[in-house]
Amino acid sequence: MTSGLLVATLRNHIRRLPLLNPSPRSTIVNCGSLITPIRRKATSLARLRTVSAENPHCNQNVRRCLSAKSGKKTVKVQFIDRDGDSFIVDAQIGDNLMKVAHQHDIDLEGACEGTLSCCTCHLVVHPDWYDNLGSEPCEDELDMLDMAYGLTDTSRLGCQVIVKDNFEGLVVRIPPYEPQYT
Amino acid sequence: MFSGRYVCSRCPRFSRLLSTFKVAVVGSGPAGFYTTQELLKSQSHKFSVDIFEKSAVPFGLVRFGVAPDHPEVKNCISTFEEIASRPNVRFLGNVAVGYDVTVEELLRKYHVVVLAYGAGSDNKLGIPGEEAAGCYTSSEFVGWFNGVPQHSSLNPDLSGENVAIVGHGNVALDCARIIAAPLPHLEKTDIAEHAVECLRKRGVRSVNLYGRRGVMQFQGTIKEVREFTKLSGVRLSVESDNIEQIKSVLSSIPRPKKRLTDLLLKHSSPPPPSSSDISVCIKFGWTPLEIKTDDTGHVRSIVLRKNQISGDMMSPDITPTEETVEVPCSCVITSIGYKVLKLPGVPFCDLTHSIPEDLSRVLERPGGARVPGLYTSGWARRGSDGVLATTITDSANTAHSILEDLEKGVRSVEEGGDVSDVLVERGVGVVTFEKWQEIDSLEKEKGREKGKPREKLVCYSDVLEKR
Repeated sequence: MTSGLLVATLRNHIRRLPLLNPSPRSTIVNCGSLITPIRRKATSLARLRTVSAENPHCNQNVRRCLSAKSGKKTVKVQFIDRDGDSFIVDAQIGDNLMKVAHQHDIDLEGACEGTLSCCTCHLVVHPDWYDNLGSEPCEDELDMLDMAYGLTDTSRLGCQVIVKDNFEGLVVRIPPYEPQYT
Repeated sequence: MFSGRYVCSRCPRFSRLLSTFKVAVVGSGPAGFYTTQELLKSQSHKFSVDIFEKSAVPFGLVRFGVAPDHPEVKNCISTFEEIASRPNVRFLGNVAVGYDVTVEELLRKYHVVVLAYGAGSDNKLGIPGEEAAGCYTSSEFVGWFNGVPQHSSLNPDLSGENVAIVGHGNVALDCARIIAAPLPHLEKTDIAEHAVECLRKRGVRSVNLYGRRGVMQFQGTIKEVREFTKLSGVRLSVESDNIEQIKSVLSSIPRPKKRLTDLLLKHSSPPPPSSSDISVCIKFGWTPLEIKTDDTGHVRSIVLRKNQISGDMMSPDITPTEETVEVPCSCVITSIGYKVLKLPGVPFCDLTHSIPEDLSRVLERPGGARVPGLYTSGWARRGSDGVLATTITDSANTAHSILEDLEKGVRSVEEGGDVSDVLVERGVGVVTFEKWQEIDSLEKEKGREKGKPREKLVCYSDVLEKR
């Protein structure tokens, strides 16, 4: 097979590849590479930056996929995921942090969908911010946090923290999974 | 032409890009679905997943284990439904792996097989009278109020005044709460209708939960304990020795244990002598010795031995005493955990009742060689411990092991031949996800008529073709 025919074959084949995660929360960010489609879900900013160096059009896509839907006022909130990668996103005021994470395809679970029946949206708030969130955890939230792995003094459930206009620059971390042991 | 990197057809990354790895997940409960979700998140590998379930209906304990008055916990089902609806995921219900299709056959057809079938067998006390009429395991009792078909005819005897529950975990608390809760609290949930009818006629005035160990070894979680304090018509109390000793160590223990212990001790004062409330009493330091029956062979009392709890309250010495007590009761529920079932073709350690594994990878025997391609996740791996969050973590860890192994090499599997063709040849009536959605719609419709989120069918033959 000549190289030209191989490339054409590859290009045609890849165009027919099904989406791996065809959920409403996940889209492909097309940065111009047919060989390495980037999955927005759980894709680190660092990787997107790498691809953008190869394709100057990628920067726009990065901004588009990370910006909030139009309309309401937003503040910049930083999520640090389990791998240590940072996502700075536009969080709409009035949304809770779990919803913000989901809107931006940040890998945070939320099994009970914000009803204080699980602890899977557990976030560790930067100590400088914990007392400035405008709310303290209620008894029910503390009850669920008590079951979370990696509980800290500045832990909150993401579904219970409502974005306020003074949240510009808020930093929250998604705690690691409990490691498995041999 | 395209921009980006040109990759050689011999490049492993290229091979992965063009390969879809076939995964068989055994069990459609949280472990099965969350492991599937974690695999599908992968950026480096593509998967097609077949989720096998021995029941005709999916979701495992989320449907059949979570209490009916905890509907929010079941919200994860919307995530599961989304996963099951993806084109590369297939649900095959009414298929008993190990019987209708062997694990060995699955390993021939699938690159990866994940055992996520939970812990389906009750631990037994092993005391006389445990098999008597009126004595139920928690699987039977929970299955009864949650609409498990084979337990729909349990008809537990709740006519007497006293119920004894052995166990202090969340399942024991669920059983106590369902028995004691006011009917309005339950009527508009998805509790099975036959359970509501039985509870309407209950004569229960007191539910005692007996645990062998001390307050600080309590296995239930704080939310479930606090629920009793908010139920009208229910009076929670706690009986324990060593109260002052426990209080003295509270300030030095981690917050979660401190808050739970505080809440339990808050209710350690004796309740008022007469009350129209149903009493729910959590009693510490009791080991059941015998269940006594009347002339008809029905439970009439439970004999328990007092344990002395001494030393470090966080890790105490539990010493039997000579003191015993016989407590009249007409119903005993044993809720002391579950065992993993031995599945044909799966390595199993009879001593520990577990699948030998290392970081989710199944081994031929404890400490032995790996079984290539075979993994385990959830309660089937860890035993019956942990809530949804624990299982999500476990699923992520299982997926990590699978992906790590696929990076190193890929097993060859049979090309062609869909397992569903084999099942059809064997006369297995496979229930597809679309068929489940018909059952789901019918249950919701029947529920709407009664103001319930659903009315669970206990027989699916009207909806399914007979096998």
